[in-house]
Amino acid sequence: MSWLIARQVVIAVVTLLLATVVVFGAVHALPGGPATALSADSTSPAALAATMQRYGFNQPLPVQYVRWIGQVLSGQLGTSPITDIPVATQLEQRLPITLELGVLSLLFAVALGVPAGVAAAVRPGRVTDWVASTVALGGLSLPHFWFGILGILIFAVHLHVLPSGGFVPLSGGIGENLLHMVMPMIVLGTGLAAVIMRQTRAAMIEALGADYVRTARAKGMREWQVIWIHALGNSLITVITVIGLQLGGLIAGVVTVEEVFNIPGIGQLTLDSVYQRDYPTLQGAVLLIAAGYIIVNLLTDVCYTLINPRLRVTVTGGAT
Amino acid sequence: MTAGVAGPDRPAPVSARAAARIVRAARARPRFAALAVVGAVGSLIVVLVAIFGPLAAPYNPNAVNFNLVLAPPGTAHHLLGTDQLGRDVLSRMLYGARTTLAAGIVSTLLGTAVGLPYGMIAGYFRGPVDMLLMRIADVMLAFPFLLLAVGLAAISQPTLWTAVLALGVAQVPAIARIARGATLEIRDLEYVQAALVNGESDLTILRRQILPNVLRPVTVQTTVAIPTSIVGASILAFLGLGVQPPTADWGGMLAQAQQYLYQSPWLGVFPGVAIFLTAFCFNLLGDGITDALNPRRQR
Repeated sequence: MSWLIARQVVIAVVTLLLATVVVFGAVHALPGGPATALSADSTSPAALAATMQRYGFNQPLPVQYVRWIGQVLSGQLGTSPITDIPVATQLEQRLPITLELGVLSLLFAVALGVPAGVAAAVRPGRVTDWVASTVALGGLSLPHFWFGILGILIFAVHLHVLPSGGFVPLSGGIGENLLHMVMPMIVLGTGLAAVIMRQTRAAMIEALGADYVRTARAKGMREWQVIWIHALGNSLITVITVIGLQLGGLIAGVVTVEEVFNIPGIGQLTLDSVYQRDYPTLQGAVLLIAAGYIIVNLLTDVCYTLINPRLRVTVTGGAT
Repeated sequence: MTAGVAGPDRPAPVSARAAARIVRAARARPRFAALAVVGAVGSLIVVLVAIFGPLAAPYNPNAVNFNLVLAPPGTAHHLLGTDQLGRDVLSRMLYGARTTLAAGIVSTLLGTAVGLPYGMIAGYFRGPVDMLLMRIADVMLAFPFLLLAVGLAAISQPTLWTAVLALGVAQVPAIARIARGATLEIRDLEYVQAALVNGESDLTILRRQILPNVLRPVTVQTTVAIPTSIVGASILAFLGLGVQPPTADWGGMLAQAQQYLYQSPWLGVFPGVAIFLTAFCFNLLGDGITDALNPRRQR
């Protein structure tokens, strides 16, 4: 099994390297090339020439790539020509905010999705299942940003019970911090909860029909133990995989939710850098998101390997 | 996830088997079948609105009227009111259906057109080809549609077509994985081997033996992907990374409505309801098709 994990790590590193090639290539595909993108004043030929010289853009591409990777690995991501703040500093400031939003939403989604999935699976085809499945499908169809706008309309504009947006750091009090996170968390978590519910339901229906569940019941085990320990324990493998696969959607969600609720996280930074044509910041943010995605996927794969007994013996083929 | 194949014999025509499965699935779960019918009817209505709606629109969607801005719904001659420029909301909704729906459907078709052969080739040739193609797919997965759209917006001006491209490319890895999985499952079956022994070319085998069996799981994925793409297209328009104003689009309408939520909350309601109901109907339909065509969901 350890070689299997080692293999996953190697694949993740290769994927990460390829992702850096993509980001590097994209910056070089910009109209006017990277010098235009990195110069504060891209209209003056002298400034362009100076930037070319400073960043070594007149060297061959592979040489530039190796140099750039070296800089990225040592945490040097350049400086924003718009704000004059180092990109790494900006990412450092904003990452915790996005992580808080992501983790809270994930917890909300699991807390809502797993019990709903189990409840639906216990009596498939009955009313509970029908209602839970339909609501989940509704959750899947709900665009985050509109759900957020509706939330603001109802809870901030009409009822005045929740703030309409913004972010309060933990230093401003954990109560205030969480109060500002409630709506964004629910908005971002709902779609994910729907996916988790559906997958939990499918996995549970399969698990509840398995022989070991019949055996557990035959041994006189209580029904709640059979459902919540035996069957759910095995279904969680699927659920974890699905959470990994949903990350791409979660990232898109983070960007929109941060935009709607005016939360200064990585998503907002990414969008602002597009609007302002702030390429060093954009490059840093995109690289961070892609790296985060690959790393979390690696962790999902490793978890999967660790808890799935079928993978402990042999493995054939590659990723499925 | 992938289709199981009953035996070594050449399977019956896909359409006949699919029809039989749909009937069986409907009988097994009548409540869900009813919802799938609702979804199918709803989706059909939305498609018809997208095609014929603009013909029925009372006004030009971009005609401004500064004498009648932010009129509430129910105003004479403006059933759904007017927006901040006095444009007729109903007309913009009808035209917007076309933009939003086209973006969702065209991007899914694009993703399928690339992902299906991509996955089939990886699964059919296996070995180093498979390894290389799937690693590239993994890299693509690390760039969700929003990042692709962000990148395209950075390189060129964002338009409806950069949004469609981003949404389509982002779907390639998922469809490719499914096509690859299904291809791997059947490529060693006797009838494929028989075709090989007969001296049929790889292309012929891929087309005649593999494709019909890969189509079913890919269709399932495609029907699930359409509503996601519709919502995705509206997200991109909302963020300014897709369709640009003044083109009527539901996501773009919501972006503009955000500034007028206090005075005119309805501007933020109609397009959202439209996106939600459209995605919901397509999801109901997709779920029904998944139930019917995916053997693992039948019990």
